[in-house]
Amino acid sequence: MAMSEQVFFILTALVGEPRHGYGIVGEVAELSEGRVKLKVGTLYGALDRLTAEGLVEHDREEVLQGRLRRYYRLTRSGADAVATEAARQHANAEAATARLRGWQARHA
Amino acid sequence: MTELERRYRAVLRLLPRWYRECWEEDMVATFLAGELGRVEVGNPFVTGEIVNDGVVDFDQAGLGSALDDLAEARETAGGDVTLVGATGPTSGTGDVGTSAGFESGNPVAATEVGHPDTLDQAEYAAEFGRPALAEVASVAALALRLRLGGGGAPERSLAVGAGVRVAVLGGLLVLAAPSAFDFFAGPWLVAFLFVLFGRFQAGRAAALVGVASAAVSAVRTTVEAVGGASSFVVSQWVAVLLGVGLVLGISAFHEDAPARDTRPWLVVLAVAFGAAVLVMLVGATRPDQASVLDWPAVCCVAWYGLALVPLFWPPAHGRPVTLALALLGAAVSVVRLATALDLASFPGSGEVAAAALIEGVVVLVVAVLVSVWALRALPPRPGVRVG
Repeated sequence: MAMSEQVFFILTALVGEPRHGYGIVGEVAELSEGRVKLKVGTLYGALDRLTAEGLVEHDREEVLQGRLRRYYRLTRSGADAVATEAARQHANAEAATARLRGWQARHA
Repeated sequence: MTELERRYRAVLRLLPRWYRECWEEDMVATFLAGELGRVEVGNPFVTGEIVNDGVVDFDQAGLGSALDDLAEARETAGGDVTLVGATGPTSGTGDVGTSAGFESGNPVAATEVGHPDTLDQAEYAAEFGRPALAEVASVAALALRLRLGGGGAPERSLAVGAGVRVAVLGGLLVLAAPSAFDFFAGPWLVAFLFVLFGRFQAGRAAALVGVASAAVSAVRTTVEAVGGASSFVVSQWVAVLLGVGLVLGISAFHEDAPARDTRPWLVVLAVAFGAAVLVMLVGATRPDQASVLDWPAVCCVAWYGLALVPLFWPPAHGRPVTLALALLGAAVSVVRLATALDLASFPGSGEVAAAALIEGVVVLVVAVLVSVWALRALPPRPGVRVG
């Protein structure tokens, strides 16, 4: 089953370095050029499910100004899932681009 | 604790306790960071948090582009740069490391979108602000999904979700059956078929049309009732509420839910069509509309029959069907009692109303017993999980 856009961006936001909740929200907004704006309930629903599925795991906790910050990192399975989804989207985009190229050539 | 935090924590109480114990502090920290501490510099997607007066802790990934933005802004302005955030306009040309310090200066070239831009406003938001409706909705949707067995939910929620799915399909079927002769029941048939075949979003949309149609009908009947006419005004409003419950219940059909065997449901739908037509024909012989054999009565009889299943088929005990029977029993009894009230308003319908009242009470009592049985059969409440 195709991964939802929100889940895809959450996992992609965790590629390379662990992030805390608000860090993920900001990174997803940046990656999607502002199209995907995660609400807190949406983010944690996804994080809980991804943790249960083994795609994301708890990294560490930090206390900043008396508040607990929990960091999350991508697991190997999570990285594989992102890679698979990225390949699928890439293949889709290539197929569409090829078709469009042919159509544009005929209608030029 | 600020008032904003207290209000957000109150919203989080919608979530199951086991979930709050695991995620509440994290969610609160993320929410408050978003509401009070975000700083946007030039590029609205470069964010940081104010950790002290005049010190901005940029998210690591945004740091490089934040520095570029600062340099560009400084060059354009020929001087100082303003950052806008919870501690108010802070400007400067200072050094930037993993955090950035700024001194007072002339404010220029900063971007802030939808966030407090002075200390006073930030303090005001903290003390008097409320979580946005969209944030509340996201928490409510999460709470509903978790309680109905959504991703990562414990066994008890999974069992509740399975029971609710059976009850929702049963409820949609009951509302869909009259579409055999009633055009206005059509949306419920569409909703039933969409949900049965896995098109949950479309099913929810069709059910919403059904609720809207029922609401229009209820308003019209209410106006007639105010004019003194005998009518089914109470039962029509109950139908609207049950329709809303079904729309919410469709949330139990999520991507983690197992696929259903559609054939038995289609067979039951065909039988229900036949029963609905029979009721319509009998009702047509009673121009006063107060018939002892109406659709709620058929539902009561069908429910009695189904309620015997766990008695004679022990494996059903503890399965989703028991919880579904409890939910459907509660719904059927409420509808029957509502129609009993309405029937009492029809001239010469005292006996029919009394029969309906007895039916409703009996279903209610048995439904309570089945509910106790169903609740006892559910897996125990989960303990605290470590995230």
